[in-house]
Amino acid sequence: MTDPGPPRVAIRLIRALLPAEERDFVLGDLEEDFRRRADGEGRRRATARYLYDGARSALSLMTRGSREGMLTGWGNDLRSALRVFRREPGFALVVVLMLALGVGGATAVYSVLRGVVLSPLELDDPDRVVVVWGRTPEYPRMPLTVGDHKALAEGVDAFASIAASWGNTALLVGEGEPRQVHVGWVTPGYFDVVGAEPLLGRSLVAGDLTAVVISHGLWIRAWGADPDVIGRSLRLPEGSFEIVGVLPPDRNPNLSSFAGVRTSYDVWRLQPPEWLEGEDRSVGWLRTTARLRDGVTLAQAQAETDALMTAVNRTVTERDGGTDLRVDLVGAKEDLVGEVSRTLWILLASVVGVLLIAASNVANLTLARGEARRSEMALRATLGGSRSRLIRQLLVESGVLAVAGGVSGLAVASVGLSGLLALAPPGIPRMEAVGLDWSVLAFAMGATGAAAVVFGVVPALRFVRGDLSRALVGRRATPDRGQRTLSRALVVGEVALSLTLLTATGLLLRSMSGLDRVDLGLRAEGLMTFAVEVPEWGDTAEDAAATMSAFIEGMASVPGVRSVAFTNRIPLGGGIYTGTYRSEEMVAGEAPTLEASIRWVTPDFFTTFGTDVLMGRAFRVDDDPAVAILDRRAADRLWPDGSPLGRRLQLSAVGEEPQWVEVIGVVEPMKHAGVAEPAEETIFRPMLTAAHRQNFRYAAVRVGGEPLAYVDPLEDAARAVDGDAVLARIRTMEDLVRDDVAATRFAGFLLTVFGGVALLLATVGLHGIMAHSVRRRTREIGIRVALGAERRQILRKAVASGGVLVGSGVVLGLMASLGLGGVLRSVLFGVEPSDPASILGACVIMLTAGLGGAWLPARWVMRLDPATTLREE
Amino acid sequence: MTDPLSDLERLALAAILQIGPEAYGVSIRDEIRDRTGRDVSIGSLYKAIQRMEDRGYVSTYVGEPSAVRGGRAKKHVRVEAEGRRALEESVRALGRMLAGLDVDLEVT
Repeated sequence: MTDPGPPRVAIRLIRALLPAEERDFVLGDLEEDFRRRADGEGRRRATARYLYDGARSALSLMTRGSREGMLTGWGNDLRSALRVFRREPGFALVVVLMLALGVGGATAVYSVLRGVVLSPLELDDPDRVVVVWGRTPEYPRMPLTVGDHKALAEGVDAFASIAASWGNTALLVGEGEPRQVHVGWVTPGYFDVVGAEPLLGRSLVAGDLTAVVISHGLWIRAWGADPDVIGRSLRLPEGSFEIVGVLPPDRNPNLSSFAGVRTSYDVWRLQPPEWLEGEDRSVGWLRTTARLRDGVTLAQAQAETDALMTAVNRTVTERDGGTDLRVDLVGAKEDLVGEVSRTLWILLASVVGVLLIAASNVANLTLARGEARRSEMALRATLGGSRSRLIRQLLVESGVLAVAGGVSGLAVASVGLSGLLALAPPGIPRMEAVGLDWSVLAFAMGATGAAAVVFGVVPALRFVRGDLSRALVGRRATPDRGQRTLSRALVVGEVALSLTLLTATGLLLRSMSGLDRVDLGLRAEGLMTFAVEVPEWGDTAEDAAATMSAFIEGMASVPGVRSVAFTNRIPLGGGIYTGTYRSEEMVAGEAPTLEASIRWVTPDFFTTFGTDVLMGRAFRVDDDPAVAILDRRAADRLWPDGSPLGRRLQLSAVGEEPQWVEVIGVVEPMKHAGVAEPAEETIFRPMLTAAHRQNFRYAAVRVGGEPLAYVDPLEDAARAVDGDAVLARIRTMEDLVRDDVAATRFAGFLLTVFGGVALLLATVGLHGIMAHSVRRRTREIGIRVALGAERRQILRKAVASGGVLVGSGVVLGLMASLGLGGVLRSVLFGVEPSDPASILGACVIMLTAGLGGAWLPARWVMRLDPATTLREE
Repeated sequence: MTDPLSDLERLALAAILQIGPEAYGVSIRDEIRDRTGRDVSIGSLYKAIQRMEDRGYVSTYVGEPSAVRGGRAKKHVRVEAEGRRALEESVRALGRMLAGLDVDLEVT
């Protein structure tokens, strides 16, 4: 052929624009016309005409609607898509189930994340509220001293307002049965700072020393939501108080939490002004909260605070926690949920991984099924079904499956969410804000949509690019290389994701078993704790000691009770009570003070908690505050060599002058802040002789058998001492320990579930693709076997090809695990993210399951008779 | 009762009948242009043929490839009895609409 056709570029361009069914005919016509014109008008004009005609033709073929009619087409597609449930119920069921599992799981976890972490705090303009913490090298989070609080209140211009709070408990009398209430002590303007104005009445203002604001909950419980409660009186042991305000519901103005517990104060009182007098810096006890001025960023406020603290530190010679105190401003929400948010994000990422695996499986199923339907599609294309029309039908079909999966997913999510809420540990703040709402619904739709893109659009695109006429000619032809690569890539991705999840699961499980083995410094079983509230303990040291001794004797005489003790703080029960200390030698050398946790205890405390006395002795009834017992950590700190017994140290706690005490014993360290936290250096002081000046009085009772069975007899014994006595916050020590590690357990449990589901789905996916590929090659295998190939050899080859997929997935997953391990660090205990045992274990499980998934279908074909396989289509 | 024909479909049907066995994309397009001066695109012609094929007015068959078409086959079009009837019906309807008007037309 001497006569050249149109320029190649032009042909390609037009070719790409034309729909396949008329492509060749139109191109032929255009080219024929081109040649005629080229002879008469020249190539250039002919080319221009070619492009013009071609584009015009493509446009009219594309836009004039399908020959079957675009509008009626949708209805038809929908009907035919719905038919898939009847025609292939197995396929439809598997797809819907997998999607429901993936979407449901992801939605349930997202709704927790949304309620706890993403939704704003239930306060007015909460983003401007910051919690103010002191930080020293030893204590990253320290309440502020009076002196430092005042320095900040007066010196930081970025704060629109600032307030301080502190809390204790009291006995509410006069409204029915006496009951324990939590009392929040605040400075004037506190409710403005946190953004929770009273629903009824007014806030506390300066001078309101006989007024209280009550919580919405107490208003309902004690006054039956009586709107005339304002002006009525509320009786506490110290006297009568006027109720001036009722707080709104669902708003907890207390922003401070300890060990994840955010107390809901029932009664709010004004701190007496003398509490904030002077420049005391001996003990930090104030929880400071501030509201930023409009237009001031957190960073600006932080910079101003830093500058101020640098100046303040220069003037300070002695302070709790050292003279170099830094102050951190933390957003109120971040302060409350920062720790748990990491865990929840990890869980969400894991469950989204499960969703991706499910969607990949569905994509593979759709691909395999699309391949089986290629002949059908090719036939329809030949009979006149346009390609876009067929693709549209595929997409509508995927859409119907996705909607079914998404709706079922919502059902799974609502069941899963009630499960999550039931299982969730008590330490997760704001769980009351969790629920299914519009944003969760939107998430579910998004998740479904994303899954549908993976399993619907990807196969449809394959279909666009595939050559249908070939499918019609070679009905037994293997699928094109691209499609096989795609489904293999999906399986590799699934294996990689599963391995990552399995590794994370392994790490969490190892952390959990590590937590179980931690030495708490006490024996938890058979131990119960509760607060004892009475209207009056006694004004003098003698009276208070007598009251406390009477309670101890009374409760100890209950049959089955082994020992009873009082203390001001329960281990793992929350609360911070610290002081500073120095050895005699350190005072002489003018060394800086050290910080320790201070615990007041009665003589049987160590017996009751099962804590070993390592040196010296426990307290006796008549020990006065001039003696102390150290835990081993504090003793080692002060006197690394030599016995601390008989040595002297200087101690100061809140509101006290420094005091000299003599060491009479050393005990093993006890955990206080948390099982996973290091035991704090602790100094024990004798409580009986100081029983009159305690803010908290908790009893600990060791019994034989189930502790909670003793609640009623113990309460009777307490009432025998004081008719108004109330036992509050009753907890067994085992519950306290369990709750403390509950967050890790919760994460570990969920990750185990997600990891297990991921492993199962990935194995099913691998099994599916292997079964499919083996079945497709049944005939080939039959021929090979008939020609004398060793079955074993064929089997090995089949398994090896699956092994390559599993192996690649495992390698990818390993890289991901090692790369992402650091993210997990914050939720791990006693195990490194690169822990070889966890990683190796995950690899072994994945390889075993994966190779099993590859081996089974191969073996299935091996069992067949060659004659049968040859007949197989 | 037959579906009414569009203008382009009527032109195409007539052109195919005029051309006979050699009716395909280019020849039909040329026939319409030569007789009416209208420049229709190959694509819209195919669209019209598809629509008529769906209604059974025409049938198509694939011819031999030729060098002048870059080695591509022609799609030949043939008018079926149903198509001829539809054309007659369409022209008659037009004739009835025009009857009595002062228009210089001769319609059979």
